[in-house]
Amino acid sequence: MSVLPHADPRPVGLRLSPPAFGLGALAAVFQILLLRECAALFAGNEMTYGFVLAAWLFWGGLGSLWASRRETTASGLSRLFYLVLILAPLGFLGLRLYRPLLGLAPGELLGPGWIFAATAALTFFLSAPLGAAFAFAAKLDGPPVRTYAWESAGATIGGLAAYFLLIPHFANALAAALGGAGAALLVFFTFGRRRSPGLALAALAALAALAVLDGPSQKAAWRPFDLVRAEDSRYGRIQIIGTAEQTTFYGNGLKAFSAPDPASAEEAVHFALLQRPEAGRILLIGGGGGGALAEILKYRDARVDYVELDPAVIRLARRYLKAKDSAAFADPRVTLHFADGRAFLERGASLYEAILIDLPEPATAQLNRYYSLEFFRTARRRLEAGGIFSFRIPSSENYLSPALRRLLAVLDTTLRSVFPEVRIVPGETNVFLASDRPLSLDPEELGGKARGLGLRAAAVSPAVLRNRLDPRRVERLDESIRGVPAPLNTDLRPVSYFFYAVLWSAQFRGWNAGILEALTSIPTRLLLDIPLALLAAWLFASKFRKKRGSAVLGPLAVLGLTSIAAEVMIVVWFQARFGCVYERLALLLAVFMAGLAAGAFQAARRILKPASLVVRQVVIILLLVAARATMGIALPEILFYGFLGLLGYANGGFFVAAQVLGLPERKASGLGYGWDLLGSFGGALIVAAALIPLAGLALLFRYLVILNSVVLLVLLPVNLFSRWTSRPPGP
Amino acid sequence: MERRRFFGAAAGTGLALRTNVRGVLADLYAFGQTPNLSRVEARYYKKLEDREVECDLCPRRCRLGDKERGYCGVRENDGGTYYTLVYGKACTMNADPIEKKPFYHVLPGTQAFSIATAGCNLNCKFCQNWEISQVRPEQVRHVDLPPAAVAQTAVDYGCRTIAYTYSEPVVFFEYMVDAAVEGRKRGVRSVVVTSGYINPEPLEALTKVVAAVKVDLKAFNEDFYASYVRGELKPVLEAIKLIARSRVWLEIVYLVIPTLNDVPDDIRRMVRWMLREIGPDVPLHFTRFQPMYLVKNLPPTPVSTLESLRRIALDEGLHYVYIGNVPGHEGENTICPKCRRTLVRRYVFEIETNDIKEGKCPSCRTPIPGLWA
Repeated sequence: MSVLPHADPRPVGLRLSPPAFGLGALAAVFQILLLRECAALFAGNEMTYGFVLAAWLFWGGLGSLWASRRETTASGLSRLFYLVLILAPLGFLGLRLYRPLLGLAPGELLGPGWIFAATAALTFFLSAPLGAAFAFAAKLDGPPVRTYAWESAGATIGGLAAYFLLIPHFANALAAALGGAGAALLVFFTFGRRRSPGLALAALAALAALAVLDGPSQKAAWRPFDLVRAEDSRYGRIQIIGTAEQTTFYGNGLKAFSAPDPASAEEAVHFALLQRPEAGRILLIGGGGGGALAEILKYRDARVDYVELDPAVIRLARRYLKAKDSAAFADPRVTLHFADGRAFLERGASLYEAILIDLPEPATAQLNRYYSLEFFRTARRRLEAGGIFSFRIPSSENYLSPALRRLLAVLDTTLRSVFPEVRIVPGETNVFLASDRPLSLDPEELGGKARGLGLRAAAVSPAVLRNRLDPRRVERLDESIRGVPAPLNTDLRPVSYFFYAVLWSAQFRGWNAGILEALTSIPTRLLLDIPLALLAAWLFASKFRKKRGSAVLGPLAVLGLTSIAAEVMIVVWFQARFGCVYERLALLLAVFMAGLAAGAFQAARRILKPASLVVRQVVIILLLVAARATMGIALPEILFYGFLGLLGYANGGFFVAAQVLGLPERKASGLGYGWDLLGSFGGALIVAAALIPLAGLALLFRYLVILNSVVLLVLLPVNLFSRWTSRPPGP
Repeated sequence: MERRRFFGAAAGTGLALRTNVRGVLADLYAFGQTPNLSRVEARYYKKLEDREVECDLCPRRCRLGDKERGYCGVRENDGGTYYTLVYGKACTMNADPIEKKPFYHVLPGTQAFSIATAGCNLNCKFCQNWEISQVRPEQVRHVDLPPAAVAQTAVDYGCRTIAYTYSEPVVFFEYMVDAAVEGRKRGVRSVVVTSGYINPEPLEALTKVVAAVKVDLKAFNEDFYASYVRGELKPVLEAIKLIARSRVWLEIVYLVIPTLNDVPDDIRRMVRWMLREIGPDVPLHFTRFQPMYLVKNLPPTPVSTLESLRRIALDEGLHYVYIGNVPGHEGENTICPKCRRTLVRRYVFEIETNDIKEGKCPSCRTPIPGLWA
């Protein structure tokens, strides 16, 4: 028995659909720029990618559903295009300005609820009309499969254009304005000049406003603080706030460093270097702008390799910091390396006597790479015997909340699994020290060394040391952390990134503080097993429903879930491995879309049989198995693109085949797309927001394999359960 | 799978599920844990009809129905009787230098046994201790430390004072007052670090048992109090006046948040108010803001801002104006207002020199007010 209502033996064909192509290109450019914008606005947290993708899919689905019930004409479609181009700048500017509009303090932290609400509300402006345009394009220029294929092709071109032409040369808002203006001209000439010239002008005006307001909107969001400079670099948005002689650098909205800030710089350096004041070869990753370099140079023998990811930071620091705050960059004892700190350590072979990490806390997958088991191992490999490794985490001097204790415990456990000796300095910031030789937190000993070196630094002055390293304090900290059971923080199971999110959300009131916290107390397997069981039951149930097309809707939803979940997981994996998603996101998405388009075209040219679905499903499963199997290997970058391309290919083919075979009626055109989006929405939201850090990528890939195997069983053109079902055999 | 193993696993899963549902609820609402809260009747409240009460401790004057808690989260109406839930429940304790509070005119170079409970009657976006101040007592771990034990531990730690600090001691008023009494019996004085958001009657009682109060004046305009503190300025000023009139030593700390509360005109008005109402001898500390909590993304205060505000205060006529959180700054030192001799030289918490003799400047014999011995 076939699960499918009937199979149309004719291939669908390939004729170009300009509206669909343009739509795809426009959607891809705006989606990529919106993701970058949100990363810049919401502290680069990859969870935000999940939120944005989910909101995007949700509104796109609704827009498409709304439009699928309406008739339209070519002018209707062109008007919709212009509407997108008018609303998109509003969405971008709204995202930037909603803090001041809501009366939030500049730089005030936002709870996950706020971030979700803001992304959900403002994504609407872009995604809903784009979704509607998809449905209209499908109606006017159908069949939907063709629209889908050309939309994917357009998205590929849009993604590549964003990556190669827009992002490297223009700030995000300007890139969006230029992309939009290009689209407006295309629409104008494709649909004929007589159609809605007024709207075309309005769109151009809105886009011009976005370009012009790029600087002013950022300034307005910071008011009353003085934003002296904003720049979108390859790695994120750099903003500089000037308050009298104090210069503060922000990366993606998070404070990177402020100068002068001797208290912070002293703390980052001296607890570690006083363990071994004669250290000569020192590696510093991050923190140079904040004064850590200058503190290291107070040690006579120090020679520093300073690694900074983003050359723009140093260029701007040289220009905007006071001369005395940036003098250390030019010191002959300092060698600057513009590189990913982690790659720098992995590649080299020479040994250091101290490795100091002065980066923000593990708030994102990008930063988590400096707090993972794999990184600690690399660091130990690059340390001489007796060398010191150190980093610090914002903490609380007087009371450790359960969320904070857990985060510290995770880092402590992970660090201790690599280094035999780990000590933690108590205080508003906890300095973690690790070595293979004993370390000292004796205030008299460290104070004596500081005096011996003639070091005048408040952080290690005798009274401060006596207070901060009071043995009762040190012991209490150790006790309260070391009693907490904690998993290891690894690249592919970035638990500390999740616990940091729990800690961050604990600062807010209301339910969103509790939800994340509550998730941590449920066994991860239950979080996965229950949805898996429900989905499997639903898939089997839908197989036996009589309603037409119901047999492919379940598989389509799982397809959507799988592809978006795998996409987000690959992005996080990529981030853990290379740390440059902000830059490469466009390329990663473009390759996926290229695969999608190719798969759709290939399927559209063939005569499709139920077996076509099975074959593609098998390919998807094999890809997931391959991803799971290669998880522990340091894969080259090209393989990530290869995986995404192939995944897209199987995905596009599956979608077309399911649509053609399972939902042949024109009326149902939006239905398959809708289920695909619905599944994607769930996948993006749940996987990105919670499951990746909690369950880890390996376990998630395994569950995706199981889920997709269930789909395969459902798709097999035999009823494995005929013995239990009393349906009469087919004709 | 063998049947027995299957059932075993199923039972295990069921058990895990059940215990974890409780865990989830406990985490969501902080119910379900053994609360270990105190049940000591509050001292300042009115009983109203229908088992309602009105709290008279702070200017919020929360009016509460049965089983309701005040804004502070640590006082509860149970059947028309109002209880403090944190009496004897210290969630943090440390021996800190008294300069860390900061008190610069109280027993320099000594240690203060510092304690706090959960809760606060304000909600400052820049709170340094939000983990304890902005939560309910069920959400923190605390130890049972009755007033007598507080005093005894202070003695054991070699501390000359007990400091009620970190969160907001007003909300654990009864505990503070009783510990202060116990301390006095053992020769340990009490110092209070507060926002001063308290009604006159309880404050009057407090001044009878403690030796010094440091008030955090968060700004000198009501707008800032409304949007960043969620309180009002006026009652704080009244409290400052009341303390200044009492026999208790008073110091004022003004945390300078760049751009948000550093307007020179506000500071000038504040200093003139101080001169008019409490005199030139109350020390004023301008403290550098190290970003915290909800505004931890803001820049720290430029030292030049602190210096210019200090200059304003000195020029207006205040005698003791300090700069805090800037190690090694001359604004850490106590200078004789008459002969300009540096009397106490500080470096962070360190007293490098202290030349004050019998409460006077050794050069010109000008009395330097404070608790020096």
